[in-house]
Amino acid sequence: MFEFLTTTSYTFEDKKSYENVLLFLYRHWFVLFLQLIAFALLGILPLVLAIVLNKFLPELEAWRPYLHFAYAIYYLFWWYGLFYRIAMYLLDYWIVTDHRIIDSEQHGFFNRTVAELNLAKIQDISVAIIGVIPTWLDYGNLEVQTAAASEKFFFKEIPHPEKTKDIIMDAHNTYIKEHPGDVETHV
Amino acid sequence: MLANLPLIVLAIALAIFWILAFILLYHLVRFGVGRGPKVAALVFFFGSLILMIVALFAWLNI
Repeated sequence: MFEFLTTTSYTFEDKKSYENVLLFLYRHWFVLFLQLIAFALLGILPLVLAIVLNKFLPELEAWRPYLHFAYAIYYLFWWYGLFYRIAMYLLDYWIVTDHRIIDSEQHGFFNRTVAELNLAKIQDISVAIIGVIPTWLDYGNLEVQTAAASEKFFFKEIPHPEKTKDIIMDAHNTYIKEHPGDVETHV
Repeated sequence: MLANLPLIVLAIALAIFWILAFILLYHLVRFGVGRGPKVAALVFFFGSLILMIVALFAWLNI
Protein backbone atom coordinates (compact mmCIF):
# COMPACT_ATOMS: atom_id res chain seq x y z
CA MET A 1 0.00 0.00 0.00
CA PHE A 2 2.83 2.38 0.82
CA GLU A 3 5.11 1.45 -2.12
CA PHE A 4 4.85 5.03 -3.36
CA LEU A 5 7.00 6.10 -0.42
CA THR A 6 9.82 3.83 -1.52
CA THR A 7 9.70 4.23 -5.31
CA THR A 8 11.92 7.01 -6.62
CA SER A 9 11.31 9.91 -8.97
CA TYR A 10 13.22 7.94 -11.55
CA THR A 11 10.53 5.30 -12.03
CA PHE A 12 7.74 5.95 -14.52
CA GLU A 13 5.21 4.05 -16.59
CA ASP A 14 6.64 2.47 -19.77
CA LYS A 15 10.25 2.84 -18.62
CA LYS A 16 12.40 0.32 -20.45
CA SER A 17 14.54 -1.99 -18.33
CA TYR A 18 17.72 -0.84 -20.09
CA GLU A 19 16.85 2.85 -19.85
CA ASN A 20 18.50 5.19 -17.34
CA VAL A 21 16.88 8.44 -16.30
CA LEU A 22 19.28 11.37 -16.57
CA LEU A 23 16.90 14.20 -15.68
CA PHE A 24 13.44 14.51 -14.21
CA LEU A 25 12.20 18.09 -14.40
CA TYR A 26 9.24 20.06 -13.13
CA ARG A 27 8.82 23.77 -13.76
CA HIS A 28 10.92 25.94 -11.45
CA TRP A 29 9.55 26.15 -7.89
CA PHE A 30 9.14 29.93 -8.24
CA VAL A 31 6.36 29.42 -10.83
CA LEU A 32 4.35 27.49 -8.23
CA PHE A 33 5.34 29.90 -5.47
CA LEU A 34 3.74 32.85 -7.32
CA GLN A 35 0.46 30.95 -7.59
CA LEU A 36 0.63 29.94 -3.92
CA ILE A 37 1.00 33.60 -2.91
CA ALA A 38 -2.29 34.33 -4.69
CA PHE A 39 -3.91 31.46 -2.76
CA ALA A 40 -2.43 32.72 0.53
CA LEU A 41 -4.13 36.08 -0.12
CA LEU A 42 -7.43 34.33 -0.87
CA GLY A 43 -6.91 32.33 2.33
CA ILE A 44 -6.75 35.38 4.57
CA LEU A 45 -9.72 37.05 2.87
CA PRO A 46 -12.39 35.57 5.22
CA LEU A 47 -10.26 36.51 8.26
CA VAL A 48 -10.08 40.12 7.05
CA LEU A 49 -13.84 40.06 6.36
CA ALA A 50 -14.53 38.68 9.87
CA ILE A 51 -12.43 41.44 11.48
CA VAL A 52 -14.12 44.15 9.40
CA LEU A 53 -17.61 42.83 10.14
CA ASN A 54 -16.88 42.57 13.89
CA LYS A 55 -15.58 46.12 13.99
CA PHE A 56 -18.07 47.96 11.80
CA LEU A 57 -21.19 45.81 11.93
CA PRO A 58 -21.45 44.41 15.49
CA GLU A 59 -25.24 44.07 14.99
CA LEU A 60 -24.47 41.02 12.81
CA GLU A 61 -23.67 39.08 16.00
CA ALA A 62 -26.83 36.94 15.57
CA TRP A 63 -25.67 35.93 12.09
CA ARG A 64 -22.25 34.79 13.26
CA PRO A 65 -23.00 31.00 13.02
CA TYR A 66 -24.14 31.52 9.41
CA LEU A 67 -20.95 33.44 8.65
CA HIS A 68 -18.84 30.67 10.20
CA PHE A 69 -20.71 28.17 8.06
CA ALA A 70 -20.04 30.28 4.93
CA TYR A 71 -16.33 30.53 5.86
CA ALA A 72 -16.14 26.75 6.30
CA ILE A 73 -17.62 26.14 2.82
CA TYR A 74 -15.31 28.81 1.37
CA TYR A 75 -12.22 27.14 2.88
CA LEU A 76 -13.32 23.74 1.56
CA PHE A 77 -13.21 25.06 -2.03
CA TRP A 78 -10.12 27.17 -1.34
CA TRP A 79 -8.35 23.96 -0.30
CA TYR A 80 -9.48 22.29 -3.50
CA GLY A 81 -8.29 25.24 -5.66
CA LEU A 82 -4.93 25.24 -3.92
CA PHE A 83 -4.35 21.56 -4.63
CA TYR A 84 -5.66 21.89 -8.16
CA ARG A 85 -2.78 24.33 -8.84
CA ILE A 86 -0.29 22.02 -7.09
CA ALA A 87 -1.60 19.04 -9.09
CA MET A 88 -1.23 20.89 -12.41
CA TYR A 89 2.34 21.76 -11.40
CA LEU A 90 3.18 18.17 -10.45
CA LEU A 91 1.60 16.67 -13.57
CA ASP A 92 3.67 18.78 -15.99
CA TYR A 93 7.07 17.16 -16.25
CA TRP A 94 9.91 16.38 -18.61
CA ILE A 95 12.05 13.26 -18.44
CA VAL A 96 15.40 12.87 -20.18
CA THR A 97 16.71 9.32 -20.35
CA ASP A 98 19.77 7.96 -22.13
CA HIS A 99 17.43 6.93 -25.00
CA ARG A 100 14.66 9.52 -25.30
CA ILE A 101 12.97 12.67 -24.05
CA ILE A 102 9.42 12.50 -22.67
CA ASP A 103 7.24 15.61 -22.48
CA SER A 104 4.11 15.17 -20.36
CA GLU A 105 1.75 18.10 -19.93
CA GLN A 106 -1.58 18.34 -18.13
CA HIS A 107 -3.84 21.07 -19.55
CA GLY A 108 -6.65 20.52 -17.05
CA PHE A 109 -8.60 17.44 -16.02
CA PHE A 110 -8.91 14.74 -18.68
CA ASN A 111 -6.76 16.78 -21.05
CA ARG A 112 -3.27 15.42 -21.19
CA THR A 113 -0.56 15.30 -23.86
CA VAL A 114 2.44 12.98 -23.72
CA ALA A 115 5.08 13.14 -26.44
CA GLU A 116 8.42 11.42 -26.74
CA LEU A 117 11.45 11.98 -28.89
CA ASN A 118 14.32 9.64 -29.63
CA LEU A 119 17.67 11.25 -28.82
CA ALA A 120 18.93 10.52 -32.36
CA LYS A 121 16.24 12.86 -33.77
CA ILE A 122 17.59 15.96 -32.02
CA GLN A 123 18.84 18.61 -34.45
CA ASP A 124 19.58 21.52 -32.15
CA ILE A 125 18.68 22.93 -28.75
CA SER A 126 18.11 26.54 -27.78
CA VAL A 127 17.56 28.17 -24.40
CA ALA A 128 15.57 31.32 -23.59
CA ILE A 129 15.84 33.01 -20.20
CA ILE A 130 13.72 36.15 -20.31
CA GLY A 131 13.23 38.59 -17.44
CA VAL A 132 14.95 39.69 -14.25
CA ILE A 133 13.65 36.99 -11.90
CA PRO A 134 14.25 34.09 -14.35
CA THR A 135 17.81 35.36 -14.88
CA TRP A 136 18.35 35.71 -11.12
CA LEU A 137 16.86 32.31 -10.24
CA ASP A 138 18.20 30.64 -13.40
CA TYR A 139 15.08 29.25 -15.00
CA GLY A 140 13.67 29.48 -18.50
CA ASN A 141 12.50 27.68 -21.61
CA LEU A 142 14.42 25.12 -23.58
CA GLU A 143 13.47 24.27 -27.16
CA VAL A 144 14.54 21.08 -28.88
CA GLN A 145 14.36 21.16 -32.65
CA THR A 146 13.80 17.72 -34.15
CA ALA A 147 14.70 16.34 -37.55
CA ALA A 148 11.15 16.96 -38.74
CA ALA A 149 10.90 20.64 -39.71
CA SER A 150 7.74 21.43 -37.77
CA GLU A 151 8.26 19.34 -34.65
CA LYS A 152 9.60 21.05 -31.57
CA PHE A 153 9.86 20.03 -27.96
CA PHE A 154 9.42 22.72 -25.32
CA PHE A 155 10.65 22.46 -21.76
CA LYS A 156 8.76 25.30 -20.07
CA GLU A 157 10.18 27.34 -17.17
CA ILE A 158 12.60 24.61 -16.13
CA PRO A 159 15.40 25.21 -13.62
CA HIS A 160 19.00 25.49 -14.94
CA PRO A 161 18.12 25.32 -18.67
CA GLU A 162 21.77 25.79 -19.77
CA LYS A 163 22.92 22.83 -17.70
CA THR A 164 19.95 20.81 -19.00
CA LYS A 165 20.94 21.66 -22.58
CA ASP A 166 24.48 20.36 -21.95
CA ILE A 167 23.18 17.13 -20.42
CA ILE A 168 20.83 16.53 -23.38
CA MET A 169 23.58 17.25 -25.91
CA ASP A 170 25.97 14.87 -24.09
CA ALA A 171 23.24 12.19 -24.00
CA HIS A 172 22.56 12.77 -27.72
CA ASN A 173 26.26 12.35 -28.61
CA THR A 174 26.60 9.23 -26.44
CA TYR A 175 23.44 7.73 -27.96
CA ILE A 176 24.66 8.35 -31.52
CA LYS A 177 28.01 6.76 -30.64
CA GLU A 178 26.44 3.70 -28.99
CA HIS A 179 23.68 3.23 -31.58
CA PRO A 180 25.26 3.48 -35.02
CA GLY A 181 22.52 3.64 -37.66
CA ASP A 182 19.99 4.34 -34.82
CA VAL A 183 19.54 0.59 -34.25
CA GLU A 184 18.46 -0.41 -30.73
CA THR A 185 20.78 -3.13 -29.45
CA HIS A 186 18.70 -3.90 -26.34
CA VAL A 187 15.76 -6.28 -26.47
CA MET B 1 -37.83 25.27 3.48
CA LEU B 2 -35.78 28.31 4.60
CA ALA B 3 -34.83 26.53 7.81
CA ASN B 4 -33.40 23.68 5.75
CA LEU B 5 -31.41 26.01 3.50
CA PRO B 6 -28.04 25.53 5.30
CA LEU B 7 -28.49 21.76 5.10
CA ILE B 8 -29.25 21.96 1.37
CA VAL B 9 -26.24 24.25 0.80
CA LEU B 10 -24.01 21.88 2.82
CA ALA B 11 -25.22 18.80 0.94
CA ILE B 12 -24.73 20.41 -2.49
CA ALA B 13 -21.32 21.87 -1.54
CA LEU B 14 -20.05 18.55 -0.15
CA ALA B 15 -21.36 16.60 -3.15
CA ILE B 16 -19.63 18.95 -5.62
CA PHE B 17 -16.48 19.06 -3.49
CA TRP B 18 -16.06 15.29 -3.21
CA ILE B 19 -16.68 14.73 -6.94
CA LEU B 20 -13.96 17.30 -7.74
CA ALA B 21 -11.73 15.88 -5.00
CA PHE B 22 -12.04 12.37 -6.42
CA ILE B 23 -11.05 13.60 -9.91
CA LEU B 24 -8.06 15.47 -8.44
CA LEU B 25 -6.92 12.47 -6.37
CA TYR B 26 -7.33 10.18 -9.38
CA HIS B 27 -5.11 12.40 -11.55
CA LEU B 28 -2.43 12.75 -8.88
CA VAL B 29 -2.23 9.03 -8.14
CA ARG B 30 -2.73 7.76 -11.70
CA PHE B 31 -0.55 10.19 -13.67
CA GLY B 32 1.91 11.51 -11.08
CA VAL B 33 5.47 10.24 -11.33
CA GLY B 34 7.50 9.68 -8.16
CA ARG B 35 6.40 10.17 -4.58
CA GLY B 36 5.66 13.93 -4.74
CA PRO B 37 2.18 13.67 -6.34
CA LYS B 38 1.22 10.75 -4.07
CA VAL B 39 2.21 12.63 -0.93
CA ALA B 40 0.30 15.69 -2.22
CA ALA B 41 -2.76 13.45 -2.75
CA LEU B 42 -2.47 12.13 0.82
CA VAL B 43 -2.17 15.64 2.31
CA PHE B 44 -5.12 16.83 0.20
CA PHE B 45 -7.27 13.89 1.27
CA PHE B 46 -6.65 14.29 5.01
CA GLY B 47 -7.01 18.08 4.78
CA SER B 48 -10.32 17.60 2.97
CA LEU B 49 -11.59 15.28 5.72
CA ILE B 50 -10.68 17.82 8.41
CA LEU B 51 -12.32 20.71 6.51
CA MET B 52 -15.44 18.63 5.92
CA ILE B 53 -15.70 17.94 9.66
CA VAL B 54 -15.22 21.69 10.34
CA ALA B 55 -18.04 22.46 7.84
CA LEU B 56 -20.30 19.88 9.55
CA PHE B 57 -19.63 21.41 12.98
CA ALA B 58 -20.27 24.90 11.56
CA TRP B 59 -23.61 23.64 10.25
CA LEU B 60 -24.50 22.00 13.59
CA ASN B 61 -23.86 25.31 15.36
CA ILE B 62 -26.46 27.15 13.25
